[in-house]
Amino acid sequence: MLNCENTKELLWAYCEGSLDSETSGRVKRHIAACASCAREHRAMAATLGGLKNLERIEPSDDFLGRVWQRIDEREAARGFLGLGIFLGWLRANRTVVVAGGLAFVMALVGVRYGLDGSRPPGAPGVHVAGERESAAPAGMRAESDYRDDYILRDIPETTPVVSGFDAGSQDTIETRFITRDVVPSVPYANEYIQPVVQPVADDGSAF
Amino acid sequence: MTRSGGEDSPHKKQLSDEELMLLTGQGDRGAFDEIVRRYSSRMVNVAYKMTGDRDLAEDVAQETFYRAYRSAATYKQIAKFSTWLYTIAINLCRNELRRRKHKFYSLEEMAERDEEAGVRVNIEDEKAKPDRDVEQRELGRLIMQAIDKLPEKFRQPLVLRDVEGLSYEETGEILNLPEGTVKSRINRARQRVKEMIEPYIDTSFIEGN
Repeated sequence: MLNCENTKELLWAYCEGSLDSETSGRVKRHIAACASCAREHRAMAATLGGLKNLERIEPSDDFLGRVWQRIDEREAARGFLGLGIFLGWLRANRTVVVAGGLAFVMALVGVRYGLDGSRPPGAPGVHVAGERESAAPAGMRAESDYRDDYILRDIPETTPVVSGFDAGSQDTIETRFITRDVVPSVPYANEYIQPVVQPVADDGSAF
Repeated sequence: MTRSGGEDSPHKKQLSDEELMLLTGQGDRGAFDEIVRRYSSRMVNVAYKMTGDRDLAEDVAQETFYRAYRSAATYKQIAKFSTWLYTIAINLCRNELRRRKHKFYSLEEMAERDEEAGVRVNIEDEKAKPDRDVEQRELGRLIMQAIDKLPEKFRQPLVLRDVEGLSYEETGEILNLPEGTVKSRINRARQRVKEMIEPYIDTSFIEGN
């Protein structure tokens, strides 16, 4: 048989009817024999019954209409809200927006010239002037670009790749030399092309 | 036709909540009418028990349906629809109570205001009822006061389980609590309510239950 302490621990579950039949039977027998637990049980049952039967209120008559009114108003407002939020943000963060724009443009320029290793127009010249140029070891020359102001490069061997000849009217042949290891990009091709004028004989052969 | 302008077809009453939400997401306003009809009373009442303010309860319930409507297009059944809807309502109640904390009336004050506004049955009506009904109403008033005095963490599971009749499992899902914690809090809440109403309950009334 259950004692009072055990019974009271089970009373809420007993009132709910969630105990198995055997335990429920033991609680029931204890309550029948114990006035204190019986009173406790009745108070608990009254509490649960009162909670379950609390007065319920009804939604207002136009509840459904008010729900739709809210939905329609909010959905209409949301259409303007996105644009409004964006414009408001721009207004509140003018400095950040301008700085961000400049940074973006600079980043674009950097990416453009950083990827192909070329120099932007107006960038520092290739050749390093003065003593530093003359200090370059034999077979090398000093250069600078926008990334570094002193770069030693091998002087590339050259080979003739173009030979133009107009036997009918010209008495010279223009031979162009182009650096072997550099494919000239269009804006700077002329820096690597050095025209050399050679005298030619009447029959067109070179001396 | 419904107030929403959608078709009020009888077959919608046969559809499950999830099917109605699917139709709502496809633009069928009539389907959402049916959702509101099914749950408006439950949402208003759970909000009323949680806040003690009838106007606020209506507002919370309407906001709950608005939130549900807004999510209809992307609604995926990850929980029972009613559980999901209760979760929205409970969270809104929690937020509203915190926002209006300094303005919050006790349930007793709200009950008095409601009576003045004719929301509840007035005293003359009560006198016309049999004694048993008066006792039930008085017990209800005492219990509402007791609920009002409970901390939120005890009030929420008690209302969901014992007033709204949800299972322990659903209550745990809504409050995001393990079932054991839910049971423990509910029993403590019941005990507090019992202790608060016991002194006012006539022994004979208890005997009668």
